[in-house]
Amino acid sequence: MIDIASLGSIIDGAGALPHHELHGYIPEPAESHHLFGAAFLFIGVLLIVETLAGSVWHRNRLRTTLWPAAIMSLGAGMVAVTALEPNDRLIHFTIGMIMLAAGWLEYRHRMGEVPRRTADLLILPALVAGALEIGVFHFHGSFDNSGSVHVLMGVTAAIMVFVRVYQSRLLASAPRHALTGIVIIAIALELMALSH
Amino acid sequence: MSNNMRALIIGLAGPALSALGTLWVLANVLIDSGRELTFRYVIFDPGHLVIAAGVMISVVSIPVAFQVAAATPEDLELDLFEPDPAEQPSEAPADIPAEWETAE
Repeated sequence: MIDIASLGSIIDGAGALPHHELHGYIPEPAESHHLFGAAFLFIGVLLIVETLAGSVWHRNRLRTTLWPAAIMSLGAGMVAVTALEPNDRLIHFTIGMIMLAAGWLEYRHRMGEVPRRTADLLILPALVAGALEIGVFHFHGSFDNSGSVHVLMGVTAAIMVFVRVYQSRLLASAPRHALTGIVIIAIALELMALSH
Repeated sequence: MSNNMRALIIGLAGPALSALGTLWVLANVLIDSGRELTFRYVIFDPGHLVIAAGVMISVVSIPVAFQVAAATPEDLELDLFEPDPAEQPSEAPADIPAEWETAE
């Protein structure tokens, strides 16, 4: 039987750990942004490769699930950031949950369990929420490197909403499919441009 | 676009990205030559991360390039992933068991 009182004291103790004691193990905010940027670059380029490869890409089930799995992994990473990074916890947590939910629905769509229209019912509002959070709430009112890049990322996330709708209207279109990859690469480069 | 052109782009995507990352690192060295080269800097620096992303993309995409080069044009069409209508639950009412009808 787990002693709830002792568990509570352990959690309190972990929360009270000074940040500098963990500093050697936890990436700084700029380093986290660069890591996430590299991951977005990876999946953005692979989306374009998927477009060019067509059905050949889906001969391997692992490749089919790579895109939703990557989005869900990044969402889980964002939730981990919430636990480690003391600033902007609510924003990081919400974006993490949005990415987890969107990745799961995209996975079900790719497995043929859910029509694209149903998946978009959650993914589109999630993208709108993500754009608002990154571009508006994470802006902090200053047009320095961080503020400008966050506004730019918010605008790019908003563009992603239109790209997703544009793609959904003609699912067989390769250029529309590739456009999603290009927007993801743009977000990746913006994340890598963040210097904080 | 021909199969070979598609295969060439797919196969070169990862190496091209790694080359871009190398240029990024070299430009960084020229601009900021006094920076200390630590392990932490190497694993979190954007230039090095772009090189790593390029290597990982190469691992995934080079085998795909060979498959694309050997594929038929029909194989290169996009999959739509829409559920099979035959597998969707029908809206017609289910058959009522006979014992339910005789219960009254």
